[in-house]
Amino acid sequence: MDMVAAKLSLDPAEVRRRNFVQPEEMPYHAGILYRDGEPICYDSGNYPETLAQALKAAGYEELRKQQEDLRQHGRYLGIGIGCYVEGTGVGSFEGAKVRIDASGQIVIATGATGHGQGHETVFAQIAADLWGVSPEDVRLIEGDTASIQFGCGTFGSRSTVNVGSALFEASARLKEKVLQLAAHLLEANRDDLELGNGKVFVRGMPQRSLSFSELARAAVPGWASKLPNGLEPGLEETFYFVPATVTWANAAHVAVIEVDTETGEIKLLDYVVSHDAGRLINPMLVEGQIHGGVAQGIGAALYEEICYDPNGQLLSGSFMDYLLPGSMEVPKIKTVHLESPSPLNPLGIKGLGEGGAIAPPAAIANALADALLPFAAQVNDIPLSPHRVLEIIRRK
Amino acid sequence: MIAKRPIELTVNGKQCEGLVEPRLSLADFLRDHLGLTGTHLGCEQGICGSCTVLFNGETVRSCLLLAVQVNGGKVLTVEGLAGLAKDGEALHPIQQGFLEKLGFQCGFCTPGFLLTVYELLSENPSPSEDEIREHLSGNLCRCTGYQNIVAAVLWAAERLQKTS
Repeated sequence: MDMVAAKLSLDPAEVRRRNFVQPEEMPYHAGILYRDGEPICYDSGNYPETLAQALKAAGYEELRKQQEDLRQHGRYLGIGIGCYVEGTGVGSFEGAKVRIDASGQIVIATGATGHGQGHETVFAQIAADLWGVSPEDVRLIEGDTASIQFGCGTFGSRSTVNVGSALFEASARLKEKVLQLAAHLLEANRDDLELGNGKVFVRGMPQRSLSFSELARAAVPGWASKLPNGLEPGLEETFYFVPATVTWANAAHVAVIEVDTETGEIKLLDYVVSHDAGRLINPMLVEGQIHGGVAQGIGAALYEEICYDPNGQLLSGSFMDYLLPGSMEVPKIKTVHLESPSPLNPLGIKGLGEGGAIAPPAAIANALADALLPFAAQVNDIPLSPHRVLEIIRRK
Repeated sequence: MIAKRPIELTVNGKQCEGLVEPRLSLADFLRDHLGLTGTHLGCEQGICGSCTVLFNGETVRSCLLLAVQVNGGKVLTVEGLAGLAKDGEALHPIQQGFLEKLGFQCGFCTPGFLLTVYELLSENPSPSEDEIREHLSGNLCRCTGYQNIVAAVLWAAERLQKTS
């Protein structure tokens, strides 16, 4: 797209604007299959807005002026854009078991085991929201086949989508049972009951209530049971959410670099992410995922390379040669959050665990090509190590 | 058969001893002999920093040091950090900062970072963001992109200034 822009003397952002799927075209059938075998259908998103926000946060107009000034002084600033869509929440399924135990605590179990991205927080938030309790009243169990029979796993930007949806459905079913039990015990109409603060109460009469703990203790089998006919013991429901296909997140990244044409060194001056991953549950955790993804993308763009010699001997066998980005290599990342809720699951969630890593190689390579416009450089290989950059410059 | 050597050292304020082969790394001694598994092994080549501990007040790569080399010395591992907190606080301010600011995700690199930050804030109680990034440039993290780690350090620095 940047080559098209150069050829037609258009701004690279403008070329993208003219070629985006527009929001009024959603849902948009791309005409090819996704890796889950289903036809790709972009379900929601406002791609022009995502890019507009990225350019605004980057100060694009000002950067173009700066670039022009610096060129007069023989300095090469480059601005690169990378836009993408990401198929998130892939199947085949994920489950959630929701149980209210005798203490009134909501215990949830799932087979999607976290690695530190924050399942304990996000799933507790969702459950707390669904049940009208605080996240501290929710306990998460993961990775235990004794707690939930089936699980798929955590990968592919899928956990919040699928576990969140499973939590929603399991909770909806369990709520129905809880309300039926409470209606029976409070001698009230099921439709006059509400949930809040860990209790079920009669609307308008908060003193007529039962706590979750009381309800759980009423739902025991045997002589102590207070269950009406037709309700089985225990307050527990399991639901396995099977998504029809992925739901589509999108983002626009802007990379600002300066390249030293003598040494080939690229300095990353600024990095902006404007992203849309549907309904966002926890902003801090969202940014954590984005930062980590972008850092990995920067590694791919500038530092990481697996090298073999002509005999197949691995040359980059240690971190001395395989360079991982450190705190000096990853700049401060600016993030703009947009939300186009997914129509494909009850909570409108899309995934974002990996998205950050998608665009940096494109954005940074485009930034280099942009910086080297006077050299008519072709940038087609990564990582853009200094020697590769010098080759690119000399090749003109 | 290489004869084992006796060693004596202080770890997290407690006297410890061991009978070790000369080739045993400090990391393996801490993890396998003392059961202090907070010190992690990411590369065993001294680059990733997840094995970082303090030896006589300075950060070292425990994967590259031999246990026999620390005989008679003082080692601080991540397990000893909370014990250095003031006024019965459950966590050291540096650890609290990492909690507040989401300075960790999988946690593998975290002990190494905590001790490196401890060294930084001991030398430079009010570091700038650039100074922080430079001091931490020897510790690799794949999860966080470093931004929240820097934020955690700034939080901890401010907290430590307040309570000192």
